[in-house]
Amino acid sequence: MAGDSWAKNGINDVMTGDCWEINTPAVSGEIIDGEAIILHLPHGHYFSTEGSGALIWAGVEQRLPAAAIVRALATHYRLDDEAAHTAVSGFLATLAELDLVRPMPLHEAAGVAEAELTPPPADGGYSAPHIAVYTDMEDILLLDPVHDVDAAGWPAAAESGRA
Amino acid sequence: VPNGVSLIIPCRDAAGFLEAAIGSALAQTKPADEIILIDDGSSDDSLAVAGRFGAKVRCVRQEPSGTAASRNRGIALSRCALVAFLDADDLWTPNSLELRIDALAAHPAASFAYGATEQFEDDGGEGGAPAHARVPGATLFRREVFDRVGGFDPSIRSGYMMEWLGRADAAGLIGVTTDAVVLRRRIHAANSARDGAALRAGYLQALRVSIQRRRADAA
Repeated sequence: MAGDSWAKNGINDVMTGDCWEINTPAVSGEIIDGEAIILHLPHGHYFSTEGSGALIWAGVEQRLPAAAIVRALATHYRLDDEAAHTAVSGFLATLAELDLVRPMPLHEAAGVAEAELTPPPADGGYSAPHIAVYTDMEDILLLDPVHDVDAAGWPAAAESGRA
Repeated sequence: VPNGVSLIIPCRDAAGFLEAAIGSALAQTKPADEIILIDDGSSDDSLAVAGRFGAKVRCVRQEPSGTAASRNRGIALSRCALVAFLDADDLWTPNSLELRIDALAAHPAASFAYGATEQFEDDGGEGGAPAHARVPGATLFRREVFDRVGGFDPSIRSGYMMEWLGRADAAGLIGVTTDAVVLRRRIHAANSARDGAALRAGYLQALRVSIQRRRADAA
């Protein structure tokens, strides 16, 4: 496992052996054309990933152990384990700081056998994972919320002003 | 009408709420100069309810096209220099329009003015503290801003106001606020938690459009 190699390399940080999952229901995200667009509704913030961030987000979305995400990143972008680990570790820490992911017990993660990460389509060569934070629509997102769409008619629906 | 206000009420199947909404508009300390109701293919009695107000409410019926398209239709039909929106199930406070008209008059450089929104659940539940947010029902727009940055994007299911504001911000348009609550927004308690995923998917779509445009502008 990739985990062995970073342990061997003396890298030992928050990520080792970790599993993370999306902090639902507060957080939702969608990967489109190689970038993840993420919404933290209770905070009123939204985000977009850059570079290899979408692949890491996809791994979290698929509930893979962090070690499996490292392996997938290393394979997909032909990185060495240490570089992949550093990238994944740092990015997951950022996601956790932003309250977008939360720790999950390893035994609840997707099994290693099924831990083949589907890379997001349309991503190019490797660049470091980043996430951009947007706060400009906080007023509307914070207002919106709890209440949701009424399929019966949209003035009743979140969609209208819930524009 | 140079300093007049066109009020646009987008409506679909809101017969049970519409009378109160229109009533709150007619009871304004400074009322709108025209009220245009865009009935977006209602299958209930919405049009009949609006019809009871006679010439005070101009009704326009269209095939179901969504709220963004309904607002755009209303803007296209409006004849006043200022444009306001009130959703068919929401309520304005009595001086809602006056406060916003005055705010725009006091700030000629501002393109829109908005007050606070207070939400209420129709089963009597609490809707939380009033908050300032640039939602259509709490905002009064100078009509010309829609010529400058365009209307609402009808292809966005929900969150089109955020997408529009992204364009408005990029164009340097500014809004001013008035302190008071101007909009009482109805929360349909029975429906909360339903279709939340669809709503969020719509938001993500709208936000992505904004992010992409921002990137294109920066490039």
